[in-house]
Amino acid sequence: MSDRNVLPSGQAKIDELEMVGIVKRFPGVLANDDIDFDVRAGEVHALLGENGAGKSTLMKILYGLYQADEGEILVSGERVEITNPTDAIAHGIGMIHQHFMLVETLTVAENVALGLKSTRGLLTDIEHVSERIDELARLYGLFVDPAAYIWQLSVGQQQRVEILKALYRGAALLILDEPTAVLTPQEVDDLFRIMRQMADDGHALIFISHKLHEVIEISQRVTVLRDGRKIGTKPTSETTKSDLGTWMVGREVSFRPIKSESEPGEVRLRLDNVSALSNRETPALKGVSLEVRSGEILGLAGVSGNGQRELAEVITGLCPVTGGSVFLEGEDVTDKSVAERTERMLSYIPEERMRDGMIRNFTVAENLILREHNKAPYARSGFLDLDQIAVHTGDLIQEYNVKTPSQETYVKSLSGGNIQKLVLARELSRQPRVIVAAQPTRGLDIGATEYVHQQLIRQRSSGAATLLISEDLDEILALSDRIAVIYEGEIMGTLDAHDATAEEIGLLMAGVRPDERSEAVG
Amino acid sequence: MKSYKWMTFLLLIALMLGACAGAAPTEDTTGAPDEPAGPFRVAVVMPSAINDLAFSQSMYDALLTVQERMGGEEKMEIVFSESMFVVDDAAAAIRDYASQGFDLVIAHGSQYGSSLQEIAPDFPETAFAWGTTLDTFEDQGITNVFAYEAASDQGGFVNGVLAATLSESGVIGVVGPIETGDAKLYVDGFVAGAQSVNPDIDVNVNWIGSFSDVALSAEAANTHISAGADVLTGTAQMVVGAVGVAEEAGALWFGTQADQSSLAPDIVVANQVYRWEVVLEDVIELVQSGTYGAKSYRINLANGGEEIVFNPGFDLPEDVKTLAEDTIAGIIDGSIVVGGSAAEAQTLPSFEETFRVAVVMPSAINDLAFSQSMYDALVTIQERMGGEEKMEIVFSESMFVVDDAAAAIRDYAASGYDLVIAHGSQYGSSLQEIAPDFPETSFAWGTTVDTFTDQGITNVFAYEAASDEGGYVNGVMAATLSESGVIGVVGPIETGDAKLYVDGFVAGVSSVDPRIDVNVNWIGSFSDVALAAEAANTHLSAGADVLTGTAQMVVGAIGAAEENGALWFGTQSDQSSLAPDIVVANQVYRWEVVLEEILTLISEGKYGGQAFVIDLANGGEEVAFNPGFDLPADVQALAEETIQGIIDGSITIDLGG
Amino acid sequence: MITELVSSTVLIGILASGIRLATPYLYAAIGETFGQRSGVLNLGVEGQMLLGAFAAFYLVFMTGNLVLGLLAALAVGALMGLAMAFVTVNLKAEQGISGIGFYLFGLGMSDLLFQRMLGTVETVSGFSKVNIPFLSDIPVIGEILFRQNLLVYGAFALVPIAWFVLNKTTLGLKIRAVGENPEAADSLGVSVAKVRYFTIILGGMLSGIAGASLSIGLLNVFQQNMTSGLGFIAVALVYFGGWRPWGVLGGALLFSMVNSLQLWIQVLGIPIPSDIAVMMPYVLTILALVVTVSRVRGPSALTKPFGREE
Repeated sequence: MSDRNVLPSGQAKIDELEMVGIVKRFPGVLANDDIDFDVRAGEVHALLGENGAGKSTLMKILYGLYQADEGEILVSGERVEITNPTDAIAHGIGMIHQHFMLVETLTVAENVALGLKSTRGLLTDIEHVSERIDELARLYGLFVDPAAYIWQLSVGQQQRVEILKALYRGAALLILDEPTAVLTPQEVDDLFRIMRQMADDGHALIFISHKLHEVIEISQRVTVLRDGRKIGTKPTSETTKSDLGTWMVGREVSFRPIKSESEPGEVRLRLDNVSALSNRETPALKGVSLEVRSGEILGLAGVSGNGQRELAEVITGLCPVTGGSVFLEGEDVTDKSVAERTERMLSYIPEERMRDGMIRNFTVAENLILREHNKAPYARSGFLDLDQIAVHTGDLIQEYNVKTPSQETYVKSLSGGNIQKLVLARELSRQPRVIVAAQPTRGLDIGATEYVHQQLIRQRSSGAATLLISEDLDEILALSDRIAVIYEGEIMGTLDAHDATAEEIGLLMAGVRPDERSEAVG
Repeated sequence: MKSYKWMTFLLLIALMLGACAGAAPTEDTTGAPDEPAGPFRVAVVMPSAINDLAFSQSMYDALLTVQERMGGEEKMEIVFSESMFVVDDAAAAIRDYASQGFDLVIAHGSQYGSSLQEIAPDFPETAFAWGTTLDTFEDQGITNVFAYEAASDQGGFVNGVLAATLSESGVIGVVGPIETGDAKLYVDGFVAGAQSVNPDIDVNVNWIGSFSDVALSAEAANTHISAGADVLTGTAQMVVGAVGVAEEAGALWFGTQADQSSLAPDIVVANQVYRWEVVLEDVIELVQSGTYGAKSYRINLANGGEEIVFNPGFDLPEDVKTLAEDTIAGIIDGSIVVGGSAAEAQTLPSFEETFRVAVVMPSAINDLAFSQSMYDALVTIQERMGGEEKMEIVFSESMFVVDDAAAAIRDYAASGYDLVIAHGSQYGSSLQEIAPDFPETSFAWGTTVDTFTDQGITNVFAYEAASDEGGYVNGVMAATLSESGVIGVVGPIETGDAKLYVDGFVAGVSSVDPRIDVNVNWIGSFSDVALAAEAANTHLSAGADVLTGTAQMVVGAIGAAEENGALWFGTQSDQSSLAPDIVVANQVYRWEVVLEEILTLISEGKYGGQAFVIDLANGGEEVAFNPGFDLPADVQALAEETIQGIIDGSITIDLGG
Repeated sequence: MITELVSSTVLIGILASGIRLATPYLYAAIGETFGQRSGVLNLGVEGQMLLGAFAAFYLVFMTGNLVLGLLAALAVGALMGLAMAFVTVNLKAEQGISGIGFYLFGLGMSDLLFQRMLGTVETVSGFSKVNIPFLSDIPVIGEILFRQNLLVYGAFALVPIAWFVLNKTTLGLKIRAVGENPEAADSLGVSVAKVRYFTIILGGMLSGIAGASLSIGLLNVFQQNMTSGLGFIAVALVYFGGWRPWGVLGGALLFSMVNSLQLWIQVLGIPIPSDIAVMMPYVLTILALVVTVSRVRGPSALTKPFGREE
C-alpha cells in the first residue's frame, strides 16, 4: 500500500481502461452501436440501462466472451486484444457474473484454482491456493472457508468467492454484473462496503445495474445505455434519480405507482398451517398460515429459494401439501385439482413465464386460450371455434397492448415484456377473484414493469385478492398493502406496508426475528 | 473386379486398333472367313495346377491327348491359366481369351458359372465349355456354351467294391473336401459300392472343408488309420497329403479324377480316371461345323469318359480284379444301378424361372451354429440346383430384434420371393401376422412344428430338429470319455432346440453312467460370449473335464475349454475348426433334407401346411467327428452303434430322465 | 446343496469368475465415467467395444503381436471417440440419440469387417495368464486375484489411477468443473471443448480396450455382436457407481459376482429356475440403483451441450 501503483493483492493498478467505438451485431440486432466507455483506478463507474440496452454485451466483449465487430480496447493507453477470458484475466480484468460462475460440487479453493497453472505441475495444489485465499481474505475483509463446498455457502458468501476468484487472478478491474439482484438489503450493504474499500485501494470497478438508487449510492460516474446506444456519461453527483430514469427509458417514469387506499373486504385466500416438500423431497414449507382479502395486495418478500415457489404451487394446486389446508373463498380446496381451482376463478402468473406460463412453440392465439380453451366462446362441444378465437384473442392483444406481428406468431419469438403481457391478458381478462403473481416483473424493463404494476393495481381496485411474490423489495414496498416475509419455509412476520422499512424487512429476510434483534445488537 | 473390366475394355480397344493397323497391308485377312486357316485354338482356365493329379490335371491331360490325335501343335494350340482359385481372376482370364479369338474357351470349374453367363453372350462367335455341370444356359438364350460333368459315382462304386473286398479290418476311410458336387457324388458312389459287398462295413467319411489344405487331409487320414482303417480313398487335389499318410501306414489307396499311382506305387490299387477327350472331341467337331454350344455331356463308364485304371505296380489278386471288371460291366449294361446321390439329386424339382429364397436369421451366417446350419444348407441346395441362375439366395442376418426381423420378412414377401424362411422360433408371432397377407408366397419357420394350419394359414412350412438324438450320441461319447465324472453344459435359454439338445445329451450321459454329474448352466443370452466363457470356467472349477453347449455364444465356452484341455462336443454346425485339439464330435444339421421337400411341394403348387423334423434316420442330422481329434476306436464304434440304434429304433431316448 | 456354496472351491470359483467378468465393464465404465464427469453421455460404448474387439483380434490374428492388437483397439476407440466428440461438442447433437447412432455404426461395421476380413469364427492366442510371483501363491486370494491375464490387472489398476486423475490433478479439476458448470469453467479460461474432446476420446480408447479384453484377453475369439449389451451395462454402472471410480468398481464387482454366483447356483443344482437365476444380477443391480441413486447427484451439465453465444 506504500507504493501508489500497487494494489493490496500485489498487482499493478489499471490507471485507465477505454473502450472506443465498440460495435457488436447479432443476427437482426445491433446490440452495441459505436459505444465509448472508460473506467479509472479508484472509481466505481455505473453502467445503467434497461434489459436489452446492451450493458451485458458490452461487458462480455470486455471480458472476452464476445468479440466486437468494430472498435478497440485500450489499457492505460495501449491497445490490447481480448479474444477470450484468459486474455482478459491476463490484462487484470475480472468479472462477477449475475449468475455466479461457480461449480457447486467443488470447494471454494477448487473453484479458485480451476483453470490456473498449478505449482505442482499436473497435480493440484489446493493447500497452496487455500493459503493465498486466506491471505487475500484478510487483506479485503472477504472471509470464507477455503475448504467449504459452494453449495454450503449463502448467496452473499458465494459472491465473495466470485470476488476472491477475480482477485486471486490479479484483477485490478472488476466488472460486477447486477451483483445486488440476489442479495438481501444487509448483504447489499456489505457488498457496497467491500466495493468502496476496493475502489479506495485503487481498483477500478464497473457496476452494472438497473436500480437507480443503488447507482446513486455507490458510483462516482454513471454511463447510460439505451437500445444499444450510449446516451451519455456524467458524474453521479450531478444527476438525480428522475434524470437517470428518463435517460434510461426515453420518457418520464413514475417510480411509485399511484394507488388508492385499500378497502379490504372478505377473506378470499387462506392458508392454514400448510407444509410441503420441494422437488428434492426436502421440507420447503413449514406450517405457513396466511390470508389475503378482497381488494388488497399481500406482498411476500424473501430471498429466492425460501419456499416461494412451493407456496405459489400449493395454492394453485401444482404441488401437494403434506399438512394443513388451503381455502378459496372459505371452501377447503386442499384436495381439489388445478382445474377445479381454476373454476373458482383463481389466476396464476407463474415465476418462469417461459416454462410454466407459455408454450414456446404455440402461437399467440393458442397460448391465450390455454386456460379456457375448452369453454365457450373458444370451444363448442369439444371443437375449437376458430373464428371466435380469432375475434377474442384479437381483442385481448389490443387491450393488453401486446406487440406481436400477428396472432399466429410463435410465442418463442416475442420479447419478455410482451410474453408477460400475454400471460396477464390470459390470466387477468377472466376477472379473477384470487391472483397469485410470482415474480411478475423479473427480467422486464422499466416500461413493462410499470405496465404490470398498473394492471395489478387495476385488479385490486376491482376487488381481486392478490398474493404478490417478489424478490424485488422495491416492488413489494411500492405495491403491497401488507407485507409478509418468508424465510426457510416459515412466515417470519407480517407488516403493514405504511410503516414497514426496507431495513426491517431485510432483517426478517435474513431470518432474524424481531425478538432476537436486541440480542444480535447487544 | 471393376479395374479388371476397365483393363479388358482398354485391352479390347488396343486390340481393335492393332487389328486395324495390321489389316491395312494384308487385305485378305478378313477376306476368307470360312477357311480354317491356322490351328484350332483352345484356352482353359483351371482352379488348381495342371499337375495336381486330380481335377485340373484330368482336363489338361485330355487336351494333350486330343492335340496329339489332331496332329500336334500346328493343328491345335493350347494355352491355360492354372490355379485360378479367385473367381474374379478367372473371369478376367476367360474374357481375355475370348477376346483374343480363341475358338474354344474352357471354364473348368463349376464356380466359374456365373462369370461365364455374363461373358459368353458378348462373344457369340466363340465357343465355351463349362464343367462340371449340365447347365448350358440355353434356357437363357445363350447358345455358345457346352456343359460337361462326370458320373463320378460310377467309378466311386467300383472303387468301393474293391475297397470292401480288400479291407481286412472292415474299416474304410474317406477324405473329401466339401460335401458337394463331384466330390459328394464320388463318395456316395464309393460308400454304396462298399456296402454292396459288405453291408456291415464301416466307411468313415471326413469332409475337411478345404480343397487345398494338404496338412489337414493328412491329419484326416491319420485319424482314419487310428480308427482302424486299412483302406483309404479321397477326392480333390489336397488328397496328396492323405496318400502320403496311407503309404507310410501301409494302407491301401483308391484314387479318382486322375491316375495317382505314381504318388505311391506300392499302395495305390486303382483310380477312376476322367477321359474328357470324349467330350472334347465332340465339342471340337461341333465348333468346326459352326455349332458353338447348347449341348451337355456326362462322362461315365459306358461312354468311355470314365475309366478304371489299375496300378500296374500293385499286385491285385486276380479274383478281385475280375470282380471289378464284372462291376464295371454291370454298370455299363445297367444291371447294376448306382443309386444314392444321383437319385437324391433328382428329387430337386426344376423351376422355369430362378427360384428366389430369402432367409431371416437371428445371428451371423458364419456363427458356427444355428444360423450357419441353415445358410450352408441353402448354399448346398443352390449348388445342386445349378448355381445362382437357378436359385437366388438373399439373407438378413443378426436379426436379434424381432421387429426388425418382421419388417425384413414382410419386405421379402412383398418383393416376390418364392420362399421366405424365418429361421428362429422367436419370429413365429410376426410370421403369423404376415403370412396371410401374401398367400402366393411360401414361408418356412423353425424350429417348431406349428404351421398355423389350425388358424387357417396354409402357406407356412415348419421345421424342427430332433436335436435330442445328436445330443444323446454326444452324451454317450462324453460319458465314456469323462474321467472326472463331471460334465458341464452351457445353454442359452431353457427352451426349444437348446433344451431338446441338452435333454438328449443328459439322457445319453446317464445311459452310460447314471452317476455322472451333468451340470447345466443356462446363461440367459444367445450372444453373451463372455458370460458363456465364464459359465464354462465355472464348470471347469466344479471339476468338469467334458463340456458341450448350444447356440452361437458358445464360442466363448469353447475357448475356455481349450485353455483348460477339456473336451468339447458341438451341435448345430461343425465347430471342429475352432479348437481342433479338443472338439470330439458335432451334431450337424443338414436342413437340405427339409429344403428338398419344401421345394418339391412348392413345385407342385403347395405353399405350406406341412411340418418336417430332421433326425439321424432321415439324414437331416449327422454326427461329424473331428478328424483332428484322436478318438479311440472303441468310442467311435460305440457312437456309431448308438446312431444305428437310434435310427433303427432299438434305442429310445427318455427325455424325462 | 446350499452348504456347497460356501465350500472353498465354489467361493474361489465365484470370486475368480467375478474378477474376470468385471474386466470389460471396468474399462468401459471408467472411460464412460470420464466422459460423464465432463458432461457427455456416450451411449456408443457398445459400438466402440465391438470395433475395438475386432481391431485387436484382427491384428493379432494377422500378426500374432498382442501389442499391435492393443494399439489397434486404442486407435479405433480413439477414432470413434473423436467422431463422437465432434458430433456432441461441435455439432451439439443430442447425446443419447447420437450415442445410439454410434452404437449401431459399431455393431454394423464390426460385423461387416468380420464378414469381409475373417469370414468365419477364428481363434488367436491372446494374453495368457500371468501368475504374479509370491502373491499368486497366497492361498485362496492368490488364486482369485493374482492368476489372471495382464488386461485383467490393467482393469483393476485403472480404478485408483482414474480416482487420482479426477481428484488430485488439475486436469481432473477441469473435467469435474466442465461437467458441473461449463459456463463457470469457460469464464475462467478453461476450454470446455478441449476437455470434452479429451474425455470422450479417452473414453473411446478405454472402450476399445474393453473390447480387446474380450477378444484377445479373456475369450480369444471374435464373433459378431459378441459384447451383447455389455457396453450398456457399463453405462448403467457409471450411474450405479455415483460417477466415482471406486463406486464403479463396486458396481462392476457386484454385478459380476452375482452373475458368477448364479452360474454356480445352476451348476450346483440349487433348485432355482434358470430364468430366475439369470435375472439375479439385473434385479440386484436395479435394486441397488434405486437405493444409491437417490443419494448421489450426477454431473449437472450431463447431456447438455455448451456454447457461448446463444
